[in-house]
Amino acid sequence: MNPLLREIVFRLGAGVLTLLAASALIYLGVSALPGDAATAALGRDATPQLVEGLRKQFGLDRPVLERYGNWLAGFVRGDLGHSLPTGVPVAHVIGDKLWNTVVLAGVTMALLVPLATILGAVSALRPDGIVDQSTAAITLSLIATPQFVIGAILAVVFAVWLKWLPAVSLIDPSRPIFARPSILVLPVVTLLAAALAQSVRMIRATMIEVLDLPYIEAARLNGIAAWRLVLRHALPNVVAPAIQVLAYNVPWLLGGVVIVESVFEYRGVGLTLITAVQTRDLPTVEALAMLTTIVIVATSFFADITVILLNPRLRRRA
Amino acid sequence: MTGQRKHRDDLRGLSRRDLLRLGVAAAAGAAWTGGIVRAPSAAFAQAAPTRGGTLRIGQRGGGASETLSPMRNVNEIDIMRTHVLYERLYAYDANGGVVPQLAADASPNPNATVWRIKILPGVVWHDGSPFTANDVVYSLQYIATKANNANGYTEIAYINPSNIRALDPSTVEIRLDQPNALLTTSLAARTIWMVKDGTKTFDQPNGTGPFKFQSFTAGERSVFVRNSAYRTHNGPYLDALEIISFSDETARLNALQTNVTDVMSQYPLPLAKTLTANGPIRLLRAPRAFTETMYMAVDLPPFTDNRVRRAFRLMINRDQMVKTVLGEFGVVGNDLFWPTDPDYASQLPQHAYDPDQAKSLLRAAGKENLSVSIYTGDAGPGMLDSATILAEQAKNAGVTITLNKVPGDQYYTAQYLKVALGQGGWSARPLTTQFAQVLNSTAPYNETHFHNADFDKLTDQARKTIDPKKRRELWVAAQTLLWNEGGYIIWGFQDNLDGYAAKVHGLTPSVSRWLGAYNFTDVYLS
Repeated sequence: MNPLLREIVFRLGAGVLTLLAASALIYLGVSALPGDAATAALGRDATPQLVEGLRKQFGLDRPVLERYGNWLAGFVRGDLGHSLPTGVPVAHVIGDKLWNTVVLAGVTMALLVPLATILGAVSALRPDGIVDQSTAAITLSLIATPQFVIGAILAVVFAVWLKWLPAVSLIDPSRPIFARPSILVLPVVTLLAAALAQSVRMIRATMIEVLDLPYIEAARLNGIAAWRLVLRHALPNVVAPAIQVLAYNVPWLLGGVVIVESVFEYRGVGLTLITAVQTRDLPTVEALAMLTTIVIVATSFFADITVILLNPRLRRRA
Repeated sequence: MTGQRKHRDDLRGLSRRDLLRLGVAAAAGAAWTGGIVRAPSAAFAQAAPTRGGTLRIGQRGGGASETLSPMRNVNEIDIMRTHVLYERLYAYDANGGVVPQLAADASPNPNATVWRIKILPGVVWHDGSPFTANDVVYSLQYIATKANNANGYTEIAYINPSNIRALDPSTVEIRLDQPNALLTTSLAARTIWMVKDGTKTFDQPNGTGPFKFQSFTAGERSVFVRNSAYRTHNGPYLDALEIISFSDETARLNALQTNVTDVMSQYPLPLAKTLTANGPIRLLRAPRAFTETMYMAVDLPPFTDNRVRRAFRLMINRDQMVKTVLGEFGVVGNDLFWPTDPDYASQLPQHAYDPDQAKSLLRAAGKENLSVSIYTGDAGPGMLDSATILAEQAKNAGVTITLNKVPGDQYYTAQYLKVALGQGGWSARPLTTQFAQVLNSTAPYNETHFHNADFDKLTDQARKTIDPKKRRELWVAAQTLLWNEGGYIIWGFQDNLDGYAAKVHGLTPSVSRWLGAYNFTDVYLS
């Protein structure tokens, strides 16, 4: 078999195993939490009889492994199950909220890539110069601050004080998000604030390595201008590590999305996940967990494959 | 169950991270708003109410678990919706007293085993049909039937559904197996809603309330419009109500501050001090509407000995506790429920702060240098703070208290009714209801594990006594018993706090629930 094909099959297999393991861990993990959908639905009214009755109704009186097995059987058929408290199909619960999160994450990534590359490249050109040091200071202090604090501060400054932007990103379901792009600004900036530090540092490090290589020296000696140097000679070699950096950021970003959606009341799947965990709505939690795992596995898969394809040496070895 | 604070809606027991965020948001908001020129003074504010406009209410949501059912709801936001759409035979006034709502009159026979209730004439459902005794019979039978799992079941479980009937289109008769002089108090519970005869599902709400249903998306928003056929002479003035669900308290606060919403119930206590009477955001206060109690289980060591219970009550510096935890928004308590109730035993002397007496009591009980843990968490306003201060103050009596903290949304599950020393929050309700829920032997939430035959006898007798004066004597005797040997440490009562924008008028505070028990009939916007 073609070595590349073998690589792909192997990674796909590993991906499926990861999904399986994640699904089991999360199911058992949420089940192990104190309380369940019945006690969550009854709140303080959770007298033993009422709880028992509701547990039966939700099917929570079966053993955990049996319930997990049922869920898994349904999942491979494409049936995501029904939300526990209300019985609404999970696909319906997640529904258009998924698109909202995709937009949020997509816009963030679309900005992260050029921003990180530019900042990383400029920092690398003059290590310990003004741009490098100030970028480092700002991004590192941002990453040290919890995201919900960054979000809160941004909301207070730009929404409550200056009134330039909305404090709350309530999506009007009757209109497309882009009809009111201002609700995206603060959430995206909050996500970027934290993600930038890592990406910039990594690109800067790679760029410094690349700029140290002999062929760059040769190009410089040949009189090629700095910007041309970077753009045409150095940057192509940074692409591969940059892709890996971005893939590395995706899981991190997905976690950040949950926080940011919460702070700005942005109705995406992050918010849905939070409520689902609070109400111990296992089917919804599992569905979202699977979604997240698939995204992460797929992203690293494509990142790895792309890096292999881009690098002739790896292609040959593979 | 009547008006308890549900653990989920009450996650206003802020986590540390919520408080950090809210602190940033509101401190900034306060600094900003403090610099604005004050609004014109009240002299100009007494204009006649203007009709029109939509009131936008930001409330903590319940995600996919939100429901329109008045019979089975747990989220506070759902309870709000029910108050807006539906009504009850009896309801609570601003001080928590029982007043008629859909009932015109209720008369018992001499031994309070048969009640005749006349309903208000001329009331119509949202669909235009008249409200009749048959609707009352259906509603009460629905709730009193165990299989329906209605929230209000335990409240009227003592009524056999087959003993409820309509005598004529405007009179309902209820026959009881046991005398009950306080039937109307049962009917005032916030779970006994009137629905139309034959209603099986509640997705298309048809009520008699001041607002009619327009739309509902679970976890997002719901809209209600004025019921022009509502029986009050003037209101509602508002065209519509929009209730928006929020998952996050900071976002909810920011929404109020940036004019995305007009009203926010359960305004955070630590931030309430920053609001001023003429500012852009104002505070609605309902004094003594809530209490964050501590309870000692009288059948678990070390509290089996009443001397230990008395010692614990004496070792608390209530003034300091109230000042630190509640600031100006609370008053000291005397380990007894509900100073707002007319039958409250106000004549009983206030339990004082006496750590020396506490120490000697503990010594007499052989429990010097006692060590005990308190079950606590962020599940209510002031819960964690009061537990922390208790631990501090207990040292003066030689008692070591360790905090057994659990996350707020898990507080009221499993362990809550099993610990020796814990906390529980309660909102104002009639004494008979409170005792039935926590102190009688059959109480479903018997926090103090109180199974006292004398107490049960006194309360049973009180509930059968028609004469209010004699009944009060019995209630006082019951409270005296609790004051002497009960397991509660009720150190203080706090205000219900709501925030509203300056343009909102007509909100009147009520002790029984926030936002004036969700009464928007007289609210208007300027």
